[in-house]
Amino acid sequence: MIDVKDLHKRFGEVEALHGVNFCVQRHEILGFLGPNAAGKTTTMRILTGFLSPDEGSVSVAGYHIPGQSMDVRRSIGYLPENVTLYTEMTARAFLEYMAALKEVPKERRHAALDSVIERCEIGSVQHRLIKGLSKGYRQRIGLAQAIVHDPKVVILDEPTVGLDPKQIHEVRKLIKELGRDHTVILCSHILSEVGATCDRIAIIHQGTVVAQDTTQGLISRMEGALPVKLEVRGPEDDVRAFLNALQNTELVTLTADDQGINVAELRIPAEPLFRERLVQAIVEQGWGLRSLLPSGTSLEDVFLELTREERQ
Amino acid sequence: MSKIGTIFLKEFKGYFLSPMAYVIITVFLLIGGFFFYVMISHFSMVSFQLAQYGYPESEININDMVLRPFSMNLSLILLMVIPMITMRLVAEERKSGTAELLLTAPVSPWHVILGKFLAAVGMIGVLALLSFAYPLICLLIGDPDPGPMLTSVLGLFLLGSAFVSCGLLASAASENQIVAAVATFGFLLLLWVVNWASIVTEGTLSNVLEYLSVLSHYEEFAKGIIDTKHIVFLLSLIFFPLFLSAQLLAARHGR
Repeated sequence: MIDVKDLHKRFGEVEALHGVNFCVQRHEILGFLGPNAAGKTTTMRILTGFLSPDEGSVSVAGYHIPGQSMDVRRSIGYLPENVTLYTEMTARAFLEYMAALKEVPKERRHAALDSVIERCEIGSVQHRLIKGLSKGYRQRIGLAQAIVHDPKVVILDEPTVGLDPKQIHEVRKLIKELGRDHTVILCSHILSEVGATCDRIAIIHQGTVVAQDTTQGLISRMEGALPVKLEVRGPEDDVRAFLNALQNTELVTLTADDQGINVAELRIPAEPLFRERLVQAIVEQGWGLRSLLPSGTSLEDVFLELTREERQ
Repeated sequence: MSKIGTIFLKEFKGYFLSPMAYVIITVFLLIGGFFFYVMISHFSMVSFQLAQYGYPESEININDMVLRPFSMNLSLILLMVIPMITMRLVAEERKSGTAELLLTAPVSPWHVILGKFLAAVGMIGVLALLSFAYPLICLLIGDPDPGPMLTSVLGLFLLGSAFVSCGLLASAASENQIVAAVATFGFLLLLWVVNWASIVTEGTLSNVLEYLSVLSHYEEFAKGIIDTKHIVFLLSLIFFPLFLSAQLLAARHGR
């Protein structure tokens, strides 16, 4: 459905994208993940025809950029980052304007508006000026305008920024529903969001896609290395030597305070009995084991790992 | 075509959804009314005096003494008001971010530019229509020739449209509304007075400068003359900036 090949974009001195490649299948939700300033928004702006690429090509629903920008834009519904709407209009008038620009035929416009207004649950505010509406409602109005013309592809750039937890939950539910009959790209730097809603993930870092795979696939890449946080009371040098000597284990950091409490972060094998054996070994040394906690979600770890590797 | 209409309606209504349209109309009519009052008072004073000394009343006429200078004054007010009407057209959308919604919808640069141009021209149309009230007053109290009245409204409208077109170009080029307004005002003022330099230049240059001055073209309309030469000048001053604005949007957004 979407095929992005070798995108390059430069803003003056800054090279924002150098070689972005990824593809999205029909009716798939792709999570487009990356740290801030990695090139997420620039890539989305090129996909939606707002910017033109310096090099490379995009194909959406059989149409190509550069060349068929108009057809590509017809096939896409886009919710930009920091949704800004025409605040002087009422929600319904705004949606009607967008529907007209997006070529929803006049006789179907009324029904299309009713349907998105219900879907995004903005019925109660549809006749109010956008100026006076909360961030949550604005976000949902933005979402409504993105899908009002029933596009094949929906692109959402950080759709849950600034929402409260309940609203975030609702928006995520809506995104999952969208995935049933649209192809969706969800841009985010919130890992749990992408992990919870997306079928597949592409990770972008410093202007290039460093990995793309299913969520499970990405996590299994890191399997065999479970990050844990350990707190032990004992002589620092002995503890460090002991942890370094453990097989299949990587000691990431170790800090000690003046009361002899050492806090260590390490990666241990994911096999189930390893932790029990580690606990036993520490106790046998005669040290005080204060805690042993798995730290961070696995996806977070993949993300950090991939975006760190690239930097070196 | 229908998209131009959609954008036009939204922008035109937009003027009236904010206080902007009302403020501009009020200021325009207030200053216009002031000029008109001064001129018509002066006219009646002069005609009284002439009558006292026994001159025939036909020596002076209301067209020359009131309507023509009044049209020139109106166009000067337009020169100051139009940058404020046009400055927001594109710059505001760019600044606030709504440009991203507008330009990722399937609309072409010409749809956007023409829709916005027509909306601002609609505002000028409203101003031109309302300002027609003053000549109507002349018609009630005096005996003016209606020809020049109509041609000067046409001239005012064409001149206003040309100004709008220049203002739209400035707004499309800048993200900052104030920059767009000041640039428009400066450019229009220069275009207004450029023929003053023809006094100190000679030959072709002098003719060119004279030709470029919008004032001299507009003056003919106020006199009651419709000459294709002036219409062509004003129409090209409408079209060329529109063309550049559309090209600017197209280049920036890769169309």
